[in-house]
Amino acid sequence: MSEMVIETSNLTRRYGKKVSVNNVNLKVPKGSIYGFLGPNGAGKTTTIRMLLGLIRPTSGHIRIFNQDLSKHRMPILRRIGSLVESPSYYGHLSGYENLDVIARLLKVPSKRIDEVLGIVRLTPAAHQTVKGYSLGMKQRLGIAAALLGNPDLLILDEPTNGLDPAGIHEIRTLIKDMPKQHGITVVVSSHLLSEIDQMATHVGIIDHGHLLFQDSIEKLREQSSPKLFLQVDKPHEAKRLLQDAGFKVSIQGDNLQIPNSDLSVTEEINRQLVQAGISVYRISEQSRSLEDIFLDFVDKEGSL
Amino acid sequence: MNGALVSDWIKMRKTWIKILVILGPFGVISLNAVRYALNYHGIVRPGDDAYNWALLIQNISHLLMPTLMLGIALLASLLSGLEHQGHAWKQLLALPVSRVQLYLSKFIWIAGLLAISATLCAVGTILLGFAFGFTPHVPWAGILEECYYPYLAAYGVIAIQLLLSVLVANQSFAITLGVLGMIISGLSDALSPDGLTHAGHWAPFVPWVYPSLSALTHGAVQHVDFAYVVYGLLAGGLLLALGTGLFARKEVK
Repeated sequence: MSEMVIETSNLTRRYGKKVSVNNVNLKVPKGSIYGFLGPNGAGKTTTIRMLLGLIRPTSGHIRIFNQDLSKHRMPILRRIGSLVESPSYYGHLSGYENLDVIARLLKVPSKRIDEVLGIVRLTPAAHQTVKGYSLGMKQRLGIAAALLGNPDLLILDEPTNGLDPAGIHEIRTLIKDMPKQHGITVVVSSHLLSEIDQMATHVGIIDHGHLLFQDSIEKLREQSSPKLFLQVDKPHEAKRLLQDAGFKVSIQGDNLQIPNSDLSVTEEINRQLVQAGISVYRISEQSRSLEDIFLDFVDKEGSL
Repeated sequence: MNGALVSDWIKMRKTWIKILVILGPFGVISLNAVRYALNYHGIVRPGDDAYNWALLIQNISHLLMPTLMLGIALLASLLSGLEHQGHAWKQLLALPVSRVQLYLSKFIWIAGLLAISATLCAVGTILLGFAFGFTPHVPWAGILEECYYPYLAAYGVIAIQLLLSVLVANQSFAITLGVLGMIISGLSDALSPDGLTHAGHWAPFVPWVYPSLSALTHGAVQHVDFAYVVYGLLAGGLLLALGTGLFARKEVK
């Protein structure tokens, strides 16, 4: 097992009676892009706020860079850059001044401000006031701020929330470059699987405070077992027939769907339908998308 | 600490805050200038400069108290509002910077800016006196006490306003308390010298009346009470410690 940058053990946070984060054991390997995935209100932001020491866990422990966060908050934060939810900015200041505010606190040279502005491609707008920035520019400014202190770990909460496709693409490109060009481990949360799918190497799926899945994205893809789709002339009759024969069948539009595409099963189904006088127009196999898997995970928890 | 102070300065450089620091004393002095200009002969006793200076100090002091109280509320609110408005607290507090420093920096700035206002007020008083021709016996001590005693006695109020402005994002709460504080501070102004001795019983428990009780003028006679400056500094220190502690434990939503 490779070295872990973040490790939490039984991390729990309650708000009154509501348990927002429930016994979460995150494991973020070094050099990965860890996609932290879950519907809105699943506990992503609460978890991230705990990782940054903005709120305290009700119980459980957080280890970052192999140090206990509750005991070594300052040295750990020194190595983390973060962007939490909606962008943080001083609207009356320019992009450059916004970064200067943080650079003074971090005691990094002003040369670094120009560097990070370059990385997020905001150099041309550096001296405009942030009030006039588009949401995408504000979000990029937030990423620039997160990069100021030369972090080893970047924690980005919903960095593409509310952006247009071009903005999303730009942020995604930025994030994908981080481990390669700068050796930075990235934790990025999102409620959109397609987002995570396009950049993450590791995935954690959280819903109702429970971490439902955590592994490499390949492992998640392996779960996308193919399904069988049948197009027939009398779908409802066919469904009844196959159910009587003991198959799990559902109707999707005009198609029958069977969650098993073994050759023998396919052959058996086809034979039974034809023998019963039902015309089979088309039999096809379809792999499940990650989207379906994600919804499966989340569905088990009875949400949506 | 320097980092926090400089960073706060960058934030407020382009705001109304700087102007407010000048506007406060300017308002107090210029309103008095107008008052004297309109009714010079009704106010000034020719030849009695000791009286004239004392009355000038009293007139300025009466306007200075509410201005000081309101100024504290506005400065605290503007400084904290900068962070609340842009959702900047969460970014700021996720930085490897001590929360104590961030909080102290705000307090130091408010106290520092008010010191400038107090100085401007003292300078303005002297200039106004010279302009009206009260030359020979400038009551230096009286003028300095008039401006700096209330300022120092107001440290408790600074700490209260800063705490409320930082903890409650909706600044209308802090401003409302600031206005209430201004009204309370004026209550002691209305006290006669007799009432003042009675005020000794309850006033030490009401930080809002420290400034006016620290340097009160009645009938062109100054009643300076250094005890209220001490109360103010003590209350300021205690409430600042309390505020810093609360801020350090504050959960950031």
